[in-house]
Amino acid sequence: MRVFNIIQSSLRTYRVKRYVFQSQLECYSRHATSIWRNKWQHYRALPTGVTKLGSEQFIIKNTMATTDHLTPEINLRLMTPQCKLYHCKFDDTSGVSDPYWAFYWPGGQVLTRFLLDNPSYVIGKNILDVGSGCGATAIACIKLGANNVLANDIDPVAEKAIHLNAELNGVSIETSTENMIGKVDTEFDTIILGDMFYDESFTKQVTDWLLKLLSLKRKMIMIGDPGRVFLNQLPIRKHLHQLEKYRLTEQCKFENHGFNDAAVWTIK
Amino acid sequence: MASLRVLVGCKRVIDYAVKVRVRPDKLGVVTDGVKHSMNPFDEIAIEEAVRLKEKKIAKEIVAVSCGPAKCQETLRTALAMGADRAIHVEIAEKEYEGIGPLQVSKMLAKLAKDEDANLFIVGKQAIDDDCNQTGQMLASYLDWPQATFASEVVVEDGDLKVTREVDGGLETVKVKMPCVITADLRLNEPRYATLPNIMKAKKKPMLKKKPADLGVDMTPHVEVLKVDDPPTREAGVKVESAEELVSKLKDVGCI
Repeated sequence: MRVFNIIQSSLRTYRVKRYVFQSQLECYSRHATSIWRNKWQHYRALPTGVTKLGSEQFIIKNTMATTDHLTPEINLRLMTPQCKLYHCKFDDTSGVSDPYWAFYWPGGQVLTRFLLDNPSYVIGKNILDVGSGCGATAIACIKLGANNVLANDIDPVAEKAIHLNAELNGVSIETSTENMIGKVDTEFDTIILGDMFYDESFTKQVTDWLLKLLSLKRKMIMIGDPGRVFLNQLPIRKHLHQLEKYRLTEQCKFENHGFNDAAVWTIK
Repeated sequence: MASLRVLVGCKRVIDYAVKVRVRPDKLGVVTDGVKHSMNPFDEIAIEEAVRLKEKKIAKEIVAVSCGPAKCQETLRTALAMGADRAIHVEIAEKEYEGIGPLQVSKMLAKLAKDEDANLFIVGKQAIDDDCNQTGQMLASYLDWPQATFASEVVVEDGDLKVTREVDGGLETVKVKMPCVITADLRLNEPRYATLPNIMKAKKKPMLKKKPADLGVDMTPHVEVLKVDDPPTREAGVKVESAEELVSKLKDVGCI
């Protein structure tokens, strides 16, 4: 009976504590979810010409400029905990793509940090940034003195975000939304990818392409990744050489559960 | 080290904050249209696994759930908390009603072997049936050591030092891996999933299996005869003075 009472009372304390916290959170998140749906529906319903204008306003309204990341020399518009939409849970029914461009993923952060610390990898080079996202790495390359930089991301909203972030850092940037994965006739001598290996089949697709590129021509390929499992399970594993490892910021850890650090690798 | 593959069991239960109602047939509780979420003790189990991964002790976390299709929502939560992939053993709603810790622990044991797991963490009990049996049965089927009611887990020389919450206080035990741990309330405070984690969780793989794939007999062994509401509290009486209180207490034979 005593054991039973202890279990009951501990459960009750737990439930009450969680309940108070959860109900505050839910009250907020319910509100935020409805905002999110309305915003996206509005944004999706606009005709093409206006969509571009709409997406720019959407980015400006739902992000804020921040330097709370591993590369504070670059100011970036990101969705931070101070932004309302950060706290919503969005469902798959919205039918629009998730805002990957609104976050500075750990792989991107360490890759950019590495290049800023080692400009010789960039100066005078022709660089293709695949899956550019918020554009941070590409912006760093321009600032460091690359010969030519193309920020590539298939999401048209990401393209807009890249331009806004470039403007914020006083540079102009060339972008493209073409799907470059699989293309082997590229003129770029350096290919960089920040945090592209979070999806199993996509990881296979991208790494197969990188290995093919490598076998055809001498290319410098650099990737940033926090150690997502798929990368360690594919043939590319044997070709990875670590260049540097960095500890992630508290905010980045909070956004990427299970990771405390991330590394920059080259493929040989 | 980073060599452990950790499996974590997550059960989908009626949310802890919901007022549970007994079904008219008195053979269960109303689940239709009721908010469900992950069993709080399983959230603690997932959290512990994620912490082991952050300390580079675990290399991979696999979240497992046995139950109807909606268990996938629970697994997505586990993925957003930091699990790397998920396995859903889909059981039809009707069939699920008849099974309990016996069948579930058999399925989990088979998965642990198939996945070559080094550690299995489950919540000490589910808040719906309060069975407190799955972890113990699982250890038995696997023939692995177990440390139940864990309030602290530390890796020491390749073994696990686990502090257990027992009736008389705390007991510290050492177990060799592979082993089963059941999570108690004070083991940790689970994190909640933030938006970037939810986004990446959608991309994480979820493998679907059937009980038949695992060779587990789903015949029910326990029959529920009756489910009753707790007795309702009867109304009290107001007394005006201490004298009246004493006489009332005397009337009911309390003093």
